[in-house]
Amino acid sequence: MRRAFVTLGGLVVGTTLLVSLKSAPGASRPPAAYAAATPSPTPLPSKTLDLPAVPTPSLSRSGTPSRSPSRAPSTPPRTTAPPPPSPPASPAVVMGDSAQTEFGYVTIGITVGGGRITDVILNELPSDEPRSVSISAKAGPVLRERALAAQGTNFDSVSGATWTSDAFKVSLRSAMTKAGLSG
Amino acid sequence: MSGPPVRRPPRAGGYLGRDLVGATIYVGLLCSVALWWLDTPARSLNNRGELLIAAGRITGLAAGYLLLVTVALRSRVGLLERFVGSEALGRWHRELGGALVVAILGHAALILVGYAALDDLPILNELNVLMTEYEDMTSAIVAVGILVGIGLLAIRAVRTVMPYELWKFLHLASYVVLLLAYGHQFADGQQLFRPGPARTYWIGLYVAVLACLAWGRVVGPLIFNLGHGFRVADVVQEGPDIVSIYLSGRRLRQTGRAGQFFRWRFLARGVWTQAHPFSLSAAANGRWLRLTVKTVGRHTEALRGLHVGVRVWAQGPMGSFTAVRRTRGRALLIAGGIGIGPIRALLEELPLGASVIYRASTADDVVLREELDRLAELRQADVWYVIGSRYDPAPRALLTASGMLQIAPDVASRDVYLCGPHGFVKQARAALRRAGVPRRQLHDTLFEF
Repeated sequence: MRRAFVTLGGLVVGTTLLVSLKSAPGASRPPAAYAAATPSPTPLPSKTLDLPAVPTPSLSRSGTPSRSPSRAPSTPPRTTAPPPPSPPASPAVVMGDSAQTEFGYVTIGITVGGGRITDVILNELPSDEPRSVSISAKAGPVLRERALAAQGTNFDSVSGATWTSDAFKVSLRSAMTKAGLSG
Repeated sequence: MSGPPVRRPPRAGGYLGRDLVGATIYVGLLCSVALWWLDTPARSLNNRGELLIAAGRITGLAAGYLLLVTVALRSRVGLLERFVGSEALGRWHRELGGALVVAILGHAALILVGYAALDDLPILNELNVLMTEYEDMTSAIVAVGILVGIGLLAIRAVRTVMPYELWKFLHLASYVVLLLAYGHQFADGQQLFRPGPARTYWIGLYVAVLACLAWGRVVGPLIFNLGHGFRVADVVQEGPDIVSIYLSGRRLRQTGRAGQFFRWRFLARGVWTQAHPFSLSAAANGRWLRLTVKTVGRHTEALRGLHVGVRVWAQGPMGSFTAVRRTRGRALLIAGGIGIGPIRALLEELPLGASVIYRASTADDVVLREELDRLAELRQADVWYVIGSRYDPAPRALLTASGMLQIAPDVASRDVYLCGPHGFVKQARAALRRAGVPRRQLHDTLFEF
């Protein structure tokens, strides 16, 4: 019986210790408040912590096509831009900026012909967690179809993949801007 | 001088094997949790949801590992039986099993609450999300239910009111847990869903445990029984309700150490459905094996009527109640009632100069007396018969520190081997501890007769 309590105590203390060793200072804030606080490189005054959550795919960066996905769901966003992607092969693929979600980055490329989007390339979709992998697998092709049909970002988000859809549109929009399209 | 040659005792091993296995289990637990540690960047847990999910992942890895360990401890692999011993294996299995149930509940609760916080959803909605959007989660939740059920049934007060066979049958559901739980570990486990060293390690754990089960439960027993071909050779009445069953077979010297036991299944009508643990009551001698059994229940009663030639299926040898476990040069052996069987066998393999205490209720209940006296002479041992009701002065005096010291003044520097009914063993242990015997010199076998 005594051993049972020792085991139980070990489990609780060990888990707590491990988690607290990996935690960031002040990490017990609720997620929404944190999302509001993170994007700024300088600490915000404390009252802004009460602001509603900023939409998650609010940050973008230039994508490197073969980057391995980030492991931690919300590592502080990278503000330095990695080198731009190598020149795309023909037909010219225009790569959009990467847009961040909680579970990884979305990077969308397009090919353009005759002033229209001829193809949408899913270069990178969220894959930090098993769940995001399966969501991406389901939502990616649907988003591609909708973007092609709409010839732009004016289409409905995929239900159950709202963040991915939003980030998809951000990246798609930047690709279109680079390609000189408006949509 | 005639008679059999005096056996040399086996090399003393003490607790080295057991400590090694115990340390391996701890190292494995550390490795399993290290999968999370190495995979999680420092200072990366930024909010309550992430902290809870991290704790959920740690408890999940610990629970997944403990599930495999508890199954492996019960695989009946000979090496574990010899190194750790059935008694300690059973105790570890119970204790780790308890921790497993707590870890599983913690894992499920932390993951649920953590993701609910991260997704900003009510708990029930999040449960729905987990069950619909993640692979194999429904079966994982069923596994938690079964495991908690087994945990509740395992509480001593509940278990003892159930028939043993029913308990055993329900406990088989643990294998279903293994089956139901593994899918979500590989499909959804943050440290395991991607190919890599962590996933390989985890697959390795599963393969090792399955190999233990296949060897300990199927292949090992098949080889053992096909090789030995045990049959009933004779059934001898030893006392009012005690019989000895002699077995014949091949290569009878390679049947384990004195003091070990087997689960015996006699392949005769009416008794073949049950396997019961009985110790050998003589060390392996190359001519026969003998079990000395008290016929108390319906099953053991039926064993009296066994015919010569009946085939016997044995699983074993099991237990670490052997001369290998000794840590000192001299031993004290204490038998209560039918516990004399393994004690009598052990006397043959322990170093010369041991003492034996044989506790029995009446003179009629003393069995194997002649051969015990003969053996004691050969092994230069003294045998003390303590006979009477447990309320008589002599038996009462025996179960005190001074009683033990009177029989063996140097008891604190001896190994003490105890075998008998549970209450008797417990009382004797307490008396011996008060007489100054260190815990690691006390060896007992707790299987019920």
